Amino acid sequence: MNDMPFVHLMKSPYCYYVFDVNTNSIVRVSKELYEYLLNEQQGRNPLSTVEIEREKTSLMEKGYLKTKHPKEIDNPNIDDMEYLFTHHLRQLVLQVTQQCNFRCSYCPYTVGDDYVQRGHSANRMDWETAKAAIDFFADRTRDVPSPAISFYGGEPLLEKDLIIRCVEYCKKRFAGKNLIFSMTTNASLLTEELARYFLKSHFKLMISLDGPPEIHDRNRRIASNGEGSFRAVYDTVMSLAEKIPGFLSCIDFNAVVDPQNDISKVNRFFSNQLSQANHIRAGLVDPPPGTTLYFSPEYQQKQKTQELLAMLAVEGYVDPQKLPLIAKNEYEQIKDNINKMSPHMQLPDRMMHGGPCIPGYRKLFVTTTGTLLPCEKCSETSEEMNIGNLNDGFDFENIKKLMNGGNRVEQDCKDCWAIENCDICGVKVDGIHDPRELRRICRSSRLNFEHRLNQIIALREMEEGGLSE
Amino acid sequence: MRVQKALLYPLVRENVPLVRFRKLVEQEFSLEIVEAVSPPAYHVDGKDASYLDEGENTNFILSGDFDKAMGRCDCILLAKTEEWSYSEYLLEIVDHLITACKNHKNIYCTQKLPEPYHTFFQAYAGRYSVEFSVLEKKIPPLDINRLDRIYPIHTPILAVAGMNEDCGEFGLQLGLLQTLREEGYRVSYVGSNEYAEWTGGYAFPRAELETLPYSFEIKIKYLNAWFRKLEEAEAPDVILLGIPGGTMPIDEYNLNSCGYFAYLTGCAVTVDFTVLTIPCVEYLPEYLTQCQEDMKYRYHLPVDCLCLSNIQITPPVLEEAKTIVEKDVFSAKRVGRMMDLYREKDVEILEAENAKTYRDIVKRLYAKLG
Repeated sequence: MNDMPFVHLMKSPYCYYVFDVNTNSIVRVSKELYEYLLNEQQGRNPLSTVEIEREKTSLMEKGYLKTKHPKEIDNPNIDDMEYLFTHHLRQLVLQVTQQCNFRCSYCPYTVGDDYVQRGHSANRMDWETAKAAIDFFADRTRDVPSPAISFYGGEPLLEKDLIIRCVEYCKKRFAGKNLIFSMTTNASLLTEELARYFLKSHFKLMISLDGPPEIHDRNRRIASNGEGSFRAVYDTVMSLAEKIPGFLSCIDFNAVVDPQNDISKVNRFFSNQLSQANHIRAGLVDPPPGTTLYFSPEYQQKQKTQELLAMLAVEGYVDPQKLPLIAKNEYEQIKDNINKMSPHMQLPDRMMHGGPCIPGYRKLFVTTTGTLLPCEKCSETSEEMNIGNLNDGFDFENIKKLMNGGNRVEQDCKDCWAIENCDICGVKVDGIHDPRELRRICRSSRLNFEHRLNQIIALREMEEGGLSE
Repeated sequence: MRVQKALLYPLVRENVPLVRFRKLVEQEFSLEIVEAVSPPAYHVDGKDASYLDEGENTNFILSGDFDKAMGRCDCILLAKTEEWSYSEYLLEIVDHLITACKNHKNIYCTQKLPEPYHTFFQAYAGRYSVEFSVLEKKIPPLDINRLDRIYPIHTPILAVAGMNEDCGEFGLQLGLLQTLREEGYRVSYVGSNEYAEWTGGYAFPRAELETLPYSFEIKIKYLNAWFRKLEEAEAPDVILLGIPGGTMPIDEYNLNSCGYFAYLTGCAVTVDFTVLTIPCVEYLPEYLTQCQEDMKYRYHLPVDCLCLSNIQITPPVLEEAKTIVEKDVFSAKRVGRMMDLYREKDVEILEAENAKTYRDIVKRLYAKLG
């Protein structure tokens, strides 16, 4: 197996390609070489020709078709752990409460009310825990010019006094740094006074708004009466925007896309009602644990249209600023994917698949009780995701385990053509140890990456006039 | 002249070399740095200054209390740092300076404070009969109309450039400056930042070159004339030159001046010996060779010596902070491991933060110049 070029074979309606794993590059090849490599991968003994050999040699001279696989699946970032966790933590996320005045159907807390992961509760962070978390973080940010402090819930504004106390303390504790504040909120409890305070303190507010009332209210309901929450969010934000100049500039809207909904309506809503907002993000809903999403043919059709619009924008045929919301998000995703495809000479001997973060380094989530987790998406009851607590500090053994998640299927990783571009992090495999289930998740990740590669291939062919041919 | 005891404020990683080589400041301005205070965010009270830059021990303990530290000093050395741009911290600095004036402490700055504070303190300091001034050393303005051609500079030039800006160059420059002076040489020092002026040097005329409304060619001639003026004024044995800006862009947000000042320098003067500092990254030998080729053919600065700094540039995570360059600052142990990796690959490289390196470079300079 390892004597063969480490490549993944792909074809479009027009051309043949290999994704060259060692160089992280897409290379166009002849149909003959493609078939030769395909036969070789399928264990046949293909017959070569002078042309195929010449093409192979030419590609090898350019550094492609190397047979190298990583020798060891081990996260090299572990070497820098001591430094990173002493001087370079970047973002602290404080879970100030587990309570919320909404019950959104896809919120992990609402889901947790029925499952075991986590649920809404009266748990709230006290000042001593919040201060201890801030101090713990501050002591480990020497080399971070812009440390970030985020407030998360439940609904964090239920604890507005604690938040203000934290902000004032942080301003003193981090004096001399470019401190960044942010908060994920449903905005329903925002008052003019609070909004002015957040604007003055350079907050970024992430507000969830899924679209027009008939879409937003379907999943996002008020806890006390079960009614839709659209008016409570939209009316509050818009009335504050009218009263406070610049207020919209500190808001990032987050639209959760449920494939059950009509995305044209979502697009129209954001184009017409919130055209003056600076940042609007859209992301597909995370299905609750143990469930999968259903994508109707209509949804898939509309999604394809958005993707095509996005690709036309990448190629300069359409102004990206004028794209509808979903297409614009797709556009940003494609640009990001292109940037990630940075080529290199070969795979290192020692590496880890691309998915795992360095838990706690980019983001350190502190629960109401002072437990440390890698991010807000982690289950609070999972021992695997627990990376320590404020009293005892980091649990480096668990952090190493999370960083070396690939060790669960080590040989698979060594031979996986998507190893570098894998998106499987600890959250996705939390509690999963059955190799068959892990391999199912791996397949899904490879399909995602293949889709990204196909987009890049399509873009190249558009550039080269492949469409007109 | 009476030596004044000075409080260096604020102390951040970038200006720790001023503490490490504080003798240079004392020799030039009769200012003995006895205290240094960092922004509260760093929590450095009681730590050695090397905590901030992970360099060699400075035997200089930092204070966290501005008022107490000020009480033990005659003056404040106010360093321009990135932190000035954070408006709330600037207000804290202003508060401290008001306290300093009230306690009759002189204030010397590397650069003017942003307005209206500078004008305010010029008047306010007078009220308490204390000195408030910018400690600067400038080559007098040059007559643009007389810049007819490039002239040779006869003094040997030792240049320090960085693959990225702030990649250990400043500490290396001061180490070389001290070593050369200790060996009895008259050194004209042109530093890559304005702190150079506190050590008896000049700051590279970056601002003039950026703001001159003239063609690229005139700027080259201007820089050449600037070096000639320096040579005439100081008749040095050697010019130690720190080139500002990096030589390679970091990413699409941070271009590192795209080697602009390196290119201008290479066009304006012939550099006799170039040291290139590189980040603490395991580059392939082929890549380093390519960088050296770039230095030679793009900037006319053939590299004589590579120095490994303890700094690594890291991509910022947050969208809001994309234009802020983040740096990992590694310990000597970690740098040692990287040195071993380079040795295994037969790449000749020196450690930037190391007294032995300064002596080694000076030896190589002599050898090259015969």
